[in-house]
Amino acid sequence: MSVKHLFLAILSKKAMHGYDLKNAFEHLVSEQWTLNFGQVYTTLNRMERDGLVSSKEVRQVEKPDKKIYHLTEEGQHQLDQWLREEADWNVFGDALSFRLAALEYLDRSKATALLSEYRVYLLKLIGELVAQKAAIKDPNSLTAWIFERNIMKAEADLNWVDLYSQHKNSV
Amino acid sequence: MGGLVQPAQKQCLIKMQGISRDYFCGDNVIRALADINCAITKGEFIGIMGPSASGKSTLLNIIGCLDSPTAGQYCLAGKDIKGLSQMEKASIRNNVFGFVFQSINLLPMLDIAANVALPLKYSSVPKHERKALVSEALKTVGLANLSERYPDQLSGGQQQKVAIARALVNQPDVILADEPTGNLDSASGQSVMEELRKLRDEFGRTVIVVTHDPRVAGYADRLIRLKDGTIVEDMPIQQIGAMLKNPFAGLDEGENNGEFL
Repeated sequence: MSVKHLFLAILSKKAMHGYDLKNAFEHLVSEQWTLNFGQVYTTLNRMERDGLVSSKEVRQVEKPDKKIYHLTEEGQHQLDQWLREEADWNVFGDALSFRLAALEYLDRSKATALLSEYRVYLLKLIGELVAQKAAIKDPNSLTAWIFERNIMKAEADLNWVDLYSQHKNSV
Repeated sequence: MGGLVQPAQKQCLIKMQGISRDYFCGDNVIRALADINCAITKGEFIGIMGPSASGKSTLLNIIGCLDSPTAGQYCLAGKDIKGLSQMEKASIRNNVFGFVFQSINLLPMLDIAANVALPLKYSSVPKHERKALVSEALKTVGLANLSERYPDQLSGGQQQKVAIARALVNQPDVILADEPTGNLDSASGQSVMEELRKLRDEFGRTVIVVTHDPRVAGYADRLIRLKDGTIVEDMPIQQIGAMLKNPFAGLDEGENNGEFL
């Protein structure tokens, strides 16, 4: 996923200029993240270079001209493809699994230390996610539910760390 | 050196040194707590976590003077608990602590206001002042409008908030909560935790919550983790730190940064 894909989705509904696109984007993530204008225009320039969007200058009285960005056919095609992409679950695909495997091989006591560090990390992470979720204005927005999803994932990970640590202690 | 230590000691509300608690079953000794050392400052929000039988409820009961340690020293506001009579301990339980439990225990035949007023029966507060304390406590938890209802007319989350009001009515310094969200769904649990957090933020109470729910980290200043009766972790929690990275930051720094994850 990237900013590019969310831009494609927003522009597929309506052509707009950079400022409105930035606002629409931030609304989509319930203002939990912001983009600066530099990021917006760099991304748009790159998308235009790759033929995903095209722009048209619109003259304005007493204001600088503004560029309106449209989705191209290629842009629509990439959006459709991205929306159809299948989930890709990589069993060893996170930092913990590989480091744990390496440490179990090299030094078991360091593997134990890594687990307890990771446990502390997860608790702090859950703390932040819970606090940030509580700060979202609309508790039923998709963003709030996405935070909930992340909290649940972190809780599941914490459960696993506890179970695996117990198992390690018992052997 | 002595001059530096003094102010810190004044702030310290709860101090435990080498606290142990043994239970005797015939010839067997079960050690529920072993050599607990910790200091809790006024106004802290503490989460005590741990699996079942890790000693967390025993610790909470000792803090609240519901139980006594087998060994070690417990000082509350600088005063050693050991030398106190049963009467003095009862008075501390009534005036210093407010208790919230997982089983909410409201009396079904009494309305909400009467339930909240229960702890005042044993206090020295004159009768004509009690009503004001009850409505103040109900107002604090946002249930002033439900004072004439009965417990079975309230949701689980609302009932637990009534229990918090009941714990508050004596205006205690410390709220002790044992699995306060244990019987609640996650949304009600969240609002009960927010209520407890408010007691610390807006009213300066010290709040100690025993729970197995890691979400307490979202509200606590500090987490203490118990295992087999000992403290295995004692760590501060900072709210809204730098841990949650903005996934959309730094996109303009290079070609590859347009993609993340």
